[in-house]
Parts: sequence; structure tokens; C-alpha cells
Amino acid sequence: MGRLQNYWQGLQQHAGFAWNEFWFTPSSVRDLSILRIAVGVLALVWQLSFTADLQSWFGPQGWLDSGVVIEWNREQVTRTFSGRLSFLWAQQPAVLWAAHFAVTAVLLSFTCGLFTRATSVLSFLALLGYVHRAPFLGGAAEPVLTMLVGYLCVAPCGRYFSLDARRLRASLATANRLPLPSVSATIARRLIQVHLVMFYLVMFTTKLAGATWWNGEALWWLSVQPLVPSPDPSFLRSQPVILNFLTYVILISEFGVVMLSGNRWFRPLALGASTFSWCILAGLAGTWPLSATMLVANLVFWNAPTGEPSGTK
Amino acid sequence: MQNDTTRSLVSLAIILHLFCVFVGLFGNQSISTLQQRVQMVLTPYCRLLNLDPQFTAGFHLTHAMQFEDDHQFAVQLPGEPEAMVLPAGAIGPDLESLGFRRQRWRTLTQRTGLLAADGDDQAVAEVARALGETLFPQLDTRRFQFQIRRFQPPDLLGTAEVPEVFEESYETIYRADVLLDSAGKVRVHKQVEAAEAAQVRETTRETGR
Repeated sequence: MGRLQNYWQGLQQHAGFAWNEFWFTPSSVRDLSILRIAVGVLALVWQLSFTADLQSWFGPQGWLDSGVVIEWNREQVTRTFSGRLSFLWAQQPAVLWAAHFAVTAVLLSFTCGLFTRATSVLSFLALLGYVHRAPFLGGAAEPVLTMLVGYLCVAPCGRYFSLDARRLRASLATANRLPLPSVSATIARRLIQVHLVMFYLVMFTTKLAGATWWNGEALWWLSVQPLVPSPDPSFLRSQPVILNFLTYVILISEFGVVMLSGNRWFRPLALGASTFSWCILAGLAGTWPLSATMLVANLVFWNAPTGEPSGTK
Repeated sequence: MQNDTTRSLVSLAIILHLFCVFVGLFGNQSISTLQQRVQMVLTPYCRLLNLDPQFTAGFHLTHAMQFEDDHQFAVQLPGEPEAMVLPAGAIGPDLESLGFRRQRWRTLTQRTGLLAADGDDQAVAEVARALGETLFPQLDTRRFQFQIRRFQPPDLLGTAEVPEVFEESYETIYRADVLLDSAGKVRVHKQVEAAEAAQVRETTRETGR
């Protein structure tokens, strides 16, 4: 009985120590500031890509009107609160344009690091507004993008490479202080890392549910679609072994990120393979939006060289 | 964060949040009754923060199912030889096709095609109705045919030739007449195959039978 008690006490101490070290060790914000710029550019591209269809979809005469959205969300409208909130509902064209370009300005400010604390939260709410307006338009990239912006709200990611930093530099110099490592930076970084690994796990496990990823044909079915700007399908068809090999590389690279991204020695290998596979998918299967989003998200595993302690081991 | 109470509260929030992330992400695959019940409770939080990619069946990229092939909307105007393909001018493999916009159109057409294939006529008719309300003010006609077309790709190891012109490999999986009635209301009449239509008894005027 005494040994069991000792075991539980030891386990609690060990788990508590590991938990605190993982989530609450102060770390640099420098790499998250770089991530902020990459995520901001991506969010801008994503939001501006609505411009061409803004009025024809969401305007007063737009055809993704309330009838379509309600019919496509039948299960949700029976709830008291569906969890879908948006500011893009049937408004006058001028108001819709104003809201759209106001969001562009907010995202631009977030990317440049201007009033970053406020603009990061506003950027997150704005992106959710677009997602909730017509959730059936979203692909796999949107949940990753909103996740990145959402967690960056937690960290002081405007401390470096930002207009905020230029404003603050003078006051820091007079106070003769360097920017301190931050616990909230560690929390934000860890949340992104854990959430990202879950995304990779979902990607990997859902692929295993289909025969095409086992027989190595998945890349063929992706690349042969007519809307994909990929190489000549006849040429690809003459190289089935290469297509099989690349399909398995994609699968293994996702498993690699899940298993090895927590290990400092294997992490570069896992991220290298992941980068290669996302480039292959973009080139052969036309998954540019998802590939770009995942490559940006992968930046959270890279430690920026800095004099301050880093949050990742 | 030296205060133990603050640290404990933050830890609790992290654990609850990550639990929601897990349920939101993994609740879209094969789902147990327990998962279903937990998901119902967490849905408002998960959806609000987009932790539940409810419509996103795309993490696996492909399982070579028919509904995952490229689809397109087509509007066939009376008397016109060629149908108008939507989105006009943005479908081809051009620079636009590298972006989020093309992906969005692709997702929309695929999901509408899936609803049509599943026989969810009401949801598809809403799309046709809304499209009619947008297009009729710009058109000279009070009627057009709305089509959903699905691409038919060749097998990797099959004997069929890879078609040079992909547009010829589309199969029309849904047709509906979209009409603007005299009251200015848009009506959608789905076209069905002869075998699917309600069968009526042959009658003759003489006997009334």
C-alpha cells in the first residue's frame, strides 16, 4: 500500500513538473512575431480572394442568401444558438464593400504589427465572420488559418518586426531593459503545436480509411482532375510507381509530424519531409491553399535563433 | 505566472479547450453515441471558434469517390448551343486556379453535387432558386436549365485513354428547369429520368379507362 502511495505521489510530482515546464516556461516571442507576419499575409490573401464574389454571393442580390444557408444548415437552426455569427449578412452593397475593406485594413495592421493586441483579436473575429457566413464554402485550410490567428491573440506577437516595436523601442532604451521572455508566448506556441499535431493526426487517420492511400493511387485521383494545373496526365499515368511512391511519402510525412515533431533531433527530418510532401501536393494535386497554410503553420516548430530562451526543446 | 491559483485556472482552461478541439476534430468521422452526446453539448463553443470543421470532409484529400471529382454548374439558356459554365472565366487552369477562390468554387460545386447525388432535392433546388433570382434580372429570358456536371476521370491502371479535352468527360447528374413565373417568383422543377417519373395508367378517351 505504501509503495502504491509513493508511486502516485511520484507520478503526480513528475506530471505536474512536466506540465508546468511544457506550458509555463517563459520563452521568446521572436519566432511568433515571424509567424504573425506569415499568418497575416496568408489571411490577407484568403480574405481578398472573396473580393471577386463578394456581391454575387453575399450582396442583397447574392445567391448564397439566407434560403440557401438555412437549407444547408437544417440541423443547426433547430438549436437556440448555432455557433455561427457573421457581419456579412444581406447588406447594402456599399456597406458590404466598406466592411470587406475595413477587414483588409485590420489584417494589414495585424501583419505589420500595428496595435497588435487589438488587431489580432479583430482579425480573428473578422475571419470567423467570413467562415460563419457560408461554412459550406470552407475547405481544410480554413480551420487551420483561424486556429493560427486565434492563438496568436494570446501572445504578445507584435513585440518584434512590427510597427509597435518601433514605437516601443525608444521607451525600452530609456529604461535600459531588453524585452523579457513571456509565459503567454509559450502558451500560444504550445497551443498551436498541439492543435497542429491533432490536424495532422486527423489527416493521417482519415486517409487510412480509404483504399486509395493504401494502394498508392491517391495522388493520381487528385492530379487527374481537370481544374488542377498539374503536369500532363498521360505522362503521370506512364509513371505509376513514382505516383505510388509519392503517395506513400505524403502519408508517412504526416505520421512523421505526429510522432517526431516533439523530438529536437528528429523534428528537422519530420518537417523537411512534411515540406516536401506539401510541395508535391501543391504541384501535382493543386492543393495550393492548404499547402501554403500548412507550410506556414509548420513554422511554429522552427526555433528562431535568438539570445532569449526558446519555448521548444 | 508565479501565482499557483492562476496557473491552475489556466491549466484547467487549456485542458477543457483541447478537449473541445479533440471532440470537434475527431467527431466528424465515424461517431459513437457518447461522442455524439458530448459533441451536442460542445457544439456552440466549437462552431463559434471554428474548432469543428463541420462541412470539411476534405482532410483526407481523396478516397476516389465520385463526389470528390470536380463538378461544375452550367446554365443552359433556351436556343443557345453552349451552356454557360459557372464561375464564368474562372474555371480554367489559370493563375486564379492556384488560389483560395478556385478552391471555394470547387468545394461549393462538389458539395452541391453530393447533395444532388444523395437525392436532397430541396437543398439543391435552393441553390438553383437563388441562382435564378440573381441571374433573371440580367437575362432576357424567363427560363433556363440549371445543370450540375461531374467529371469522370480515367483509372490509373485502366485501358481507357486519358481524354485530351477534359470538358467532354463531364456527366450531367442533375437538371432542373428554373422559371420566373408571372408573379415574379422563381420556381424550380427538377427533371427526372422517364423511369423515375410517376407511372400513370394508359387511358383512352372513348372508355375513360
